[in-house]
Amino acid sequence: MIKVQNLHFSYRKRKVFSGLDLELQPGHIYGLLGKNGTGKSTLLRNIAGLLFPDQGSIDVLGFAPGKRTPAFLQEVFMVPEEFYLSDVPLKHLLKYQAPFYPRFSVEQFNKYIKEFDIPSDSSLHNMSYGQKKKVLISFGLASNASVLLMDEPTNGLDILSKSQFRKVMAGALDDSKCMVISTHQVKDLESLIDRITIIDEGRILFDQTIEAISRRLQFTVSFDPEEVKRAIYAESALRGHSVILKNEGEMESKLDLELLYKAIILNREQVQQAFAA
Amino acid sequence: MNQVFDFSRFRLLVGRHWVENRQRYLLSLGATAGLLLLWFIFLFLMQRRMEAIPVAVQVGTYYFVLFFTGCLYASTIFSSLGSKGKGINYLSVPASHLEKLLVAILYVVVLFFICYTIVFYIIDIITLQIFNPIAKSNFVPMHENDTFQWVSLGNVFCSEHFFGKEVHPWFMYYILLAFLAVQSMFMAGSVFFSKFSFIKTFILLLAVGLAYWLSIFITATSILPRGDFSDDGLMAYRAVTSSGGVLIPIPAWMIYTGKYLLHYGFPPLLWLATYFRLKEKEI
Repeated sequence: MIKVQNLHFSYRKRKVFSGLDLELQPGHIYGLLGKNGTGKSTLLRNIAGLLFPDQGSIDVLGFAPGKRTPAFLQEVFMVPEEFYLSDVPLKHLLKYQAPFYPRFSVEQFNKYIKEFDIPSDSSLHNMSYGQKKKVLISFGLASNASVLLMDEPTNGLDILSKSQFRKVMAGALDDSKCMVISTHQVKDLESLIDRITIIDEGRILFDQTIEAISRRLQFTVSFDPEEVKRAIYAESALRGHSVILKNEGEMESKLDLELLYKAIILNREQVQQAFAA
Repeated sequence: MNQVFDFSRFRLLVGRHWVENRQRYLLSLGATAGLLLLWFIFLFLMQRRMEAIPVAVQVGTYYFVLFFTGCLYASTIFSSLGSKGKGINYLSVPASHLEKLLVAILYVVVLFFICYTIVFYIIDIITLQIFNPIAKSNFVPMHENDTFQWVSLGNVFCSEHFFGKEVHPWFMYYILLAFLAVQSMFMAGSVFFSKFSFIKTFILLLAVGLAYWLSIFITATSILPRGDFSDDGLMAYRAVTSSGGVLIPIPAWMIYTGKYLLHYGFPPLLWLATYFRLKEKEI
């Protein structure tokens, strides 16, 4: 669905990507993680056709994003971190913006904004940043675009809205869609994403499905100093140590994305060994 | 579905632009009307002779405000590209670059011109209806044969006076063509310059104008014999010789080519430049 090959990109003299390769398939929610300034948003904007690669190619459903043809734009919807929605009533948004997307469903839109507790007869003029963001997310999902790109979608959402967001997102995924969520708030997406891609210094540091991670790694709290010693990654918690161990006995454990992220950044080799074995 | 131009998409884009900007546009038209009204009242009160706004002043005001507001508006038409959020919103709308450009041209060139002209005439008619009777009632003849002159509504498209000078009626047509070219340059400026596009385009225009005149005069002084350009502007050069002067006209084909390029060539060329810049715009 999305194929990034040998992507080189730089902002004037600052190199962001030098030879990035990535392939994303439909039917998944990808979590794009990474430190600030590692190029998560830049990658999304390259996929959306808002930035053009210096070298290499990007293919989205057979389209070259940089051409920004209407057929491509109908298939890709982006929820940027810094977004804009004009101050119009929601009914005008549906009347003047929705028809650009041939598969847009008003019914779905109304369902999503209801789940987000936004009255359907309200106007964007009177909405807070968080409410506007929820409208944009609802609009993007209701557009039924094949590719949904979200840059820090949970920024500005309150605790309740974050769980509403996860619920709405999980219900909107189907086999024909690919959703890519870039975030540094990993906790917000723990139960949502089914594949994690971590970018660092312009390259893919880690790219695994949640299923593979659960099969290979075990997340637990340990009080055993020996176990802590042989852990792939450990950090002291309020009680004992939060640890990541090799999952040798096919034990089921609850994925701790934040811990995994730290392990990959700070102890990458050991994590990779666990997946290589 | 056509990926370059589709009428239903274009229609949607026109509607979307109107819904998003109508409040700003209506307020701007109201402000223009208010400024025109204040300007006419000011002129009427400051004059010594008691008469309504003379036709030459009406025409001059029309063109001055047309150039200023038209260029100011044109310089904002792609201003959304200067902000990340608005720019992403604009570029992500599923419509082609050509459709987006045509919507900009429709609003900047066609609709602005029509709306401004209507607003101008409404204010002009109202002020003449009010000022003429006031002027008549306060009219004091200076001489025995002095009679009160009722000031009529000026035809801004076919006037024989422009800023106090007598001109050919076709002159207004050329002024409008010049306006279209300058306005198109400001429209191009709004996509080329992300911030302060009006000021930057204005400075660029001055710089280009200065470079143009300098290049002509440097060429004239270094290549051509001593002399100067005749009263026809740059159409002929008057070389000073021992026996008086020789008029060297520019070849007719060159005049026609230059004239047509100046009159009709600039706006399409600038729109083309705007189109390509829009296509390669990154956010």
